[in-house]
Amino acid sequence: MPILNGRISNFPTSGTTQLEPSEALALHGPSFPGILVQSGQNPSTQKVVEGILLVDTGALATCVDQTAATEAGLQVVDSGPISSATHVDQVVPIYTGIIEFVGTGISINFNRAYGVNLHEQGKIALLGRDILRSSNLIYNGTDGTYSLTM
Amino acid sequence: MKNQIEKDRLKGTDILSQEKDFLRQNLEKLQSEHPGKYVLIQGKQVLGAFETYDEGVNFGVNHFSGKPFLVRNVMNPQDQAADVPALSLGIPLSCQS
Repeated sequence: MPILNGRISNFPTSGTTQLEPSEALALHGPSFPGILVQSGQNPSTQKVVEGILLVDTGALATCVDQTAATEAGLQVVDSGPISSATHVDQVVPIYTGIIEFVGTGISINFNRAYGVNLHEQGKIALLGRDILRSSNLIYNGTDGTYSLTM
Repeated sequence: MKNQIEKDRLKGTDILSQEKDFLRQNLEKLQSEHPGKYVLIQGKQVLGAFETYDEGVNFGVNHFSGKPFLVRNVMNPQDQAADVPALSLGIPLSCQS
């Protein structure tokens, strides 16, 4: 099984203070650089959107940023309600597509990712428990490291 | 289509309302014709019936991509809500210190 190892050491910080890895991980959560691409398309014509993937064990379902999904041309395959801080039970599109972890050759095909607003937080996707159900996540808070085995 | 999705998102409307209306109006017929199956609907047309959700989605992506379509089990046709506390509780995904 492929293993992804992460350590947040070069995220932007406030002011000139460089955060310790344990603080950076507590602040940002286990994140990986990734891309969103359409599924079922010729690789030469696929549109790619880059950004940050956040592992979110609190999320029942995987979510993708609505703007990134639109830019990548992801296919809408359903729609469903999702609660947000500003819109209670808003019906949003549900997408199919591919998430790739940059520089690893590891990709995940997803068929139900809810389109939500994540770009203000600089994220393109929340990896929810639907994807994580086939993975192992090790979170080492004291060391500021994390591993995801897919 | 992309602009329509963005407009719908801002208005809080449903991009697949036509397909869902069609599903509701024809549910009994679809349940008798495709018991237990996942139907693929685009506009007011049923474009296929499949054993699994993934089969329906993959078929739709390969044959009808570009325009939104709906894949639903005829025995469980209602919307499925997603529980994402980071969004529903307004927890900042990246705190500013």
